[in-house]
Amino acid sequence: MADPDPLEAAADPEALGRAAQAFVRARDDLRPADAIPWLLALAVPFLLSQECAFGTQILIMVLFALSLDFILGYAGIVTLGQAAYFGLGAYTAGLLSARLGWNEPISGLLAAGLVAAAAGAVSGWILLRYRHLALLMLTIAISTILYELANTWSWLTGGFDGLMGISISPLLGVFDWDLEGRTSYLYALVVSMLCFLALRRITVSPFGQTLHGIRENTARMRAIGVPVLGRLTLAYTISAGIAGIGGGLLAQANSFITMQVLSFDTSAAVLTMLVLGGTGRLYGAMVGAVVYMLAADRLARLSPEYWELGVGLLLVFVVLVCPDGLFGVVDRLRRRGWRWRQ
Amino acid sequence: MAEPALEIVGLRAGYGETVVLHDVSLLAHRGERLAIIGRNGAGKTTLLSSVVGRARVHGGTVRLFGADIARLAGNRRAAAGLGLVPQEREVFPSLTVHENLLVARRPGRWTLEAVCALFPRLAERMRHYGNQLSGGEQQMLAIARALMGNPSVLLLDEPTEGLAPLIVADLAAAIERIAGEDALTLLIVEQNARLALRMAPRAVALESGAIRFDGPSAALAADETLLAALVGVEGGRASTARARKRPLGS
Amino acid sequence: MSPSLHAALSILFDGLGYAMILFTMSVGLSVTMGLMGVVNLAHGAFAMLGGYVAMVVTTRLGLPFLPALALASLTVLAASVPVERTLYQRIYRRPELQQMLLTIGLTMILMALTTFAFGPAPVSLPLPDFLNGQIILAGRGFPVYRAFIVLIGVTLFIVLRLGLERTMLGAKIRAAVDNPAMAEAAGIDTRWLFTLTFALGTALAALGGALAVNVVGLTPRFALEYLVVLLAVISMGGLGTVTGTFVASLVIGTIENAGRYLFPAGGAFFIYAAVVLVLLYRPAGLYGRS
Repeated sequence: MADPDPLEAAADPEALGRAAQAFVRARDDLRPADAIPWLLALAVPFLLSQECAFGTQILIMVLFALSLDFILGYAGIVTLGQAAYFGLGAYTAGLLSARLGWNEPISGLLAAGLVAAAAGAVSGWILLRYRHLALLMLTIAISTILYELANTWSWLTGGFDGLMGISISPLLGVFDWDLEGRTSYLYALVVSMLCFLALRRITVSPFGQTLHGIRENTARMRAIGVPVLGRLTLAYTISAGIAGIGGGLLAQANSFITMQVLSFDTSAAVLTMLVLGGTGRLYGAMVGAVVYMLAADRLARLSPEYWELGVGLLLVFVVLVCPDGLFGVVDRLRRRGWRWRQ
Repeated sequence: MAEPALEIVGLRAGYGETVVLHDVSLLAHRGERLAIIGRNGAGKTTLLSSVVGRARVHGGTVRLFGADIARLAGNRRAAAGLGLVPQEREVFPSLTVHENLLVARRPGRWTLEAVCALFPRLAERMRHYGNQLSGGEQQMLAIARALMGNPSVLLLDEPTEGLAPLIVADLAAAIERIAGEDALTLLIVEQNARLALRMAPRAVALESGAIRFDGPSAALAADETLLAALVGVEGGRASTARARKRPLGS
Repeated sequence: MSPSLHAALSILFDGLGYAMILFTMSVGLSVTMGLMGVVNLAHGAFAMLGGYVAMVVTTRLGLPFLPALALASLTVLAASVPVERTLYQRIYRRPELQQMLLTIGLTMILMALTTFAFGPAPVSLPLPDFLNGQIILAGRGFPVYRAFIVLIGVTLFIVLRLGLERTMLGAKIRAAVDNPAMAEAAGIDTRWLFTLTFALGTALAALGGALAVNVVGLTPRFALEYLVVLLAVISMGGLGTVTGTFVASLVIGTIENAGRYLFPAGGAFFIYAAVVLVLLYRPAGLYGRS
């Protein structure tokens, strides 16, 4: 059914209303094409079952990158400390099992998300009053402080050696964690898909639109009475919660975590993934995470230095040539193709 | 016939993507004194900002003594003879009065002694830091600093804004003295339309980003209806009624 | 002198030494970020390179220590100029995020190349005899090298302060830090100022890196590890200020050292806690301008 022409409808207010609704629905509703990445992902345990373990790591990073995209791409908050929430989630899920003997995965994951979200709420409420270098440094400082605490309390966290002794009971009491990692993979896939759907719903909601407004012109949003700090804190909380779920997944899937989950390197890596794919469109986070993980894996097999060199060159290239990321390139090509056809 | 001091043709300019000025053309000869008046948001500051390089030029040309300055960096425009006294004065807070004047110094008749003679108050405050001056003193410093660059074209953006009437009179007298000395071309943006029309023999009125009047100040001053229509004058100060939306941060 | 007093003085003295290294490395970053607003996360890499050049020049070419320091600074300075002209000039007007990522990428490239050339293991820089050993102050010994570093740091502080406060060039830099647009309108060439301060700042970073080899050790990862500390210093001190960087270096240097003695496992915690406290109350830093 073709969208009603808005100009024609202008004469008739009811038709205009319907036209507006159709426009919004067309923009916001999920299309069949949106299912493609998830269907492809679903095929992995059946067609590429030996890659399930790696695939799980990729899904975890996708989730992590999505969380960052929400706060950075949509709300416009530049942070180099997202690892704080990822790590908090990881340690929550890990400690629940390793220290408290609570091995049920789904509740453990929820706990991870909640703890991270709570931390996000508290820190966001304080930090989001600042901008530029102060905010950047504060986010770095928070994650570094957590890293140091994890180091100091190594009796609790396992310190540099890592947290061991995580054992997760079968999923829903039924699905055992097989050696191939298929259960882990499908578990991670379902979790990341649900989170993606939730984030997508939020980004197209009025709340998501105000975030967009805050990103574009904070002063103007304040002027029209939007409680900027409150909205940003909520966004930051959601973002932290999702990152925490990602971390929790990591702990549960690998049954082992190290302090790396809280490190500056991890924050920098997820930021790289996001910018590689393109910010502000969720799919960019997915594509960026997948491409980064694949490239990193290939390069790392050569040597750690090749990985470092490769990522460095990639970053310089992306910023200089396609700062909108891979999706930006796709957009530009699509627009050029469209103009061509005209 | 010497080329005009400042020639603006078909200027389209604004901030970022926003366009504030649509097709503005203006010619100023050496030694001319122009007042630029208009309501808030009409584009007066944008006009000066475009000449100086602070606003984004989407189209049109700006020529200083015949040379296209669109591509020149800010400091090169100063070297080419452009001087700016900005709306917020913008004295350097980390520098003393003395330093504020010295960093802008270029050779010419305006030396440290000359500006001190023009503004004796500044001479008394040489060691004070920029942010330790009163509003009036800052304005004097801003003007003196621009003069130290020995410009051929001096742009003043609302030099009397927020100042007490006594100081305004002092400044107006100083500006008279500056203009009278040599072939300095002066463009004065003023909210206070009546004062502007008294300070300069020629007036240019902007409205909604376009020039609506360009002619002798006396003619405009005499025509109350036209003045009111262009500037909304009631007893001297331009009104803010029907102010056009301004891009934030401009 | 009682042992505990000596211990306290040792901590302070060590902290002072470490602080002077931090100051030398970060003062350039503070001024360039204050001047041009470019978030330059590659600064740590330049410091790292300084250390490696000094190491190469002394161990492979047999140059004495002091000339090696000078050569390290000059080499990195020379290398930084084309990098500034080609890469940095393109990103001045870009959003912070892109500046951050480009410079992180540059850091990773430099780290990788250094690892290719010298391997990931720590390297050493032999000290001349006159810098080894201890000097006796009030009946107790303090390391000569630390005293040397303190001397360099304090001298640098004085020279830079005088340079900023008393010279025309310093006034222009201060003006450009205050208000770049107005500085341009007043005829100051801010682009040239930036190239100059960038070059000088990078040279000082290299010097600091070379000095740091015998204090904290040097590996290619130094570039990233110390970047975070340098950012902490300039955040706490403020952008575009020599005094602020000096004070913040002292605070962080002392806390780091005291922290390391008292809480060996989590010393860095106190640094970042201090940074957080300062930023919450003074987001522009102790001496910064909002």
